[in-house]
Amino acid sequence: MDRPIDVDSVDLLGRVRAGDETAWAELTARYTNMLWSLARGMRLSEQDAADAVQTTWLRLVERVDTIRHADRVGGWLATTMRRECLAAIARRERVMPAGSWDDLPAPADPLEDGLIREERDAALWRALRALRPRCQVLLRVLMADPAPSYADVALALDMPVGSIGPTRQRCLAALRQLMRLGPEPI
Amino acid sequence: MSPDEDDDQLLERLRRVAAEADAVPENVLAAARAAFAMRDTDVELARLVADSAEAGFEPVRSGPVAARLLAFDGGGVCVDLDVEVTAGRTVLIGHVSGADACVLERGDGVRQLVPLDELGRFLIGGVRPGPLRLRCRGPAGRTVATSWVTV
Repeated sequence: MDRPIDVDSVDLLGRVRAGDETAWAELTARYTNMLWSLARGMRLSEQDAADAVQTTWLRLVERVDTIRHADRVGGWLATTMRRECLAAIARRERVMPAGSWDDLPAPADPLEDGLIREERDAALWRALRALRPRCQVLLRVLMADPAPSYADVALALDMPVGSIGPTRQRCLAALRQLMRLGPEPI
Repeated sequence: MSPDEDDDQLLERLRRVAAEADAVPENVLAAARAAFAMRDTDVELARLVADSAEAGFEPVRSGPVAARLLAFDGGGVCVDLDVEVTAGRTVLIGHVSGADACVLERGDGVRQLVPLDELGRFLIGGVRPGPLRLRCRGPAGRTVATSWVTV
């Protein structure tokens, strides 16, 4: 691969390897939002998302001295997190055999929780949640703060880097369409 | 305004709403920072070598019990771990070889002694869900830890 080397990440990981706790804090501040967004975009509950994020960071601690490409730590985290999310989904399916999903309480809805202050923001969030799953998860990851690189997004979602831009455009168009339609007619 | 700028603006608005509607909980950020305290450069890793949750295995299900079988190997220690969930309660049943003592370590650093019988078998009930690993005294007194697993 001829991607430019992310000098910043190499430096950060080098400091982490040397035991610098500040560098670790910087690393977690940079990527935890992306990991959380991926888990929530994949529809994990808050508890499962929290466990998956924690496990991903623990795995990095475990492997930090042996990671080969120090400049791609974001991609390593994205890949590991994706696996943790899939494992969490498989775990739920094992514990809840198919057919018993109807008994589950609906996941907490931030609209009901009254977390969104403005109605037009609530409408936007509702429209986001009405998108097809592929679009929801892509937009959730792209929305992460700080914004992740397309290389990291590609690994998080297991899709080619080149298709992120066009898919993003289509998903945002679909979102605008849903906004125009307004609340679903009953 | 170009469509791209439009898209950037919409995404920025979404980012703002997400920070309100589904922000990363503070305890998740704190756990991420705290994970660094689990770093231990003297520990050898017993890697996950088999996991029934991976593709290729039929799910093991006997009645209402959901079971997941895991195997770890490394540093001269082998661990077989059977994670069983019955009515929301998690039980660990396992076997350790190559080690004479182990603790169960949680992601937050809390440890409990693993009661090994003379054959290296153990059973631990009432396990809280979340990431955990086994940390054992292996050959020549070296510390060997399994890789993390979320139950």
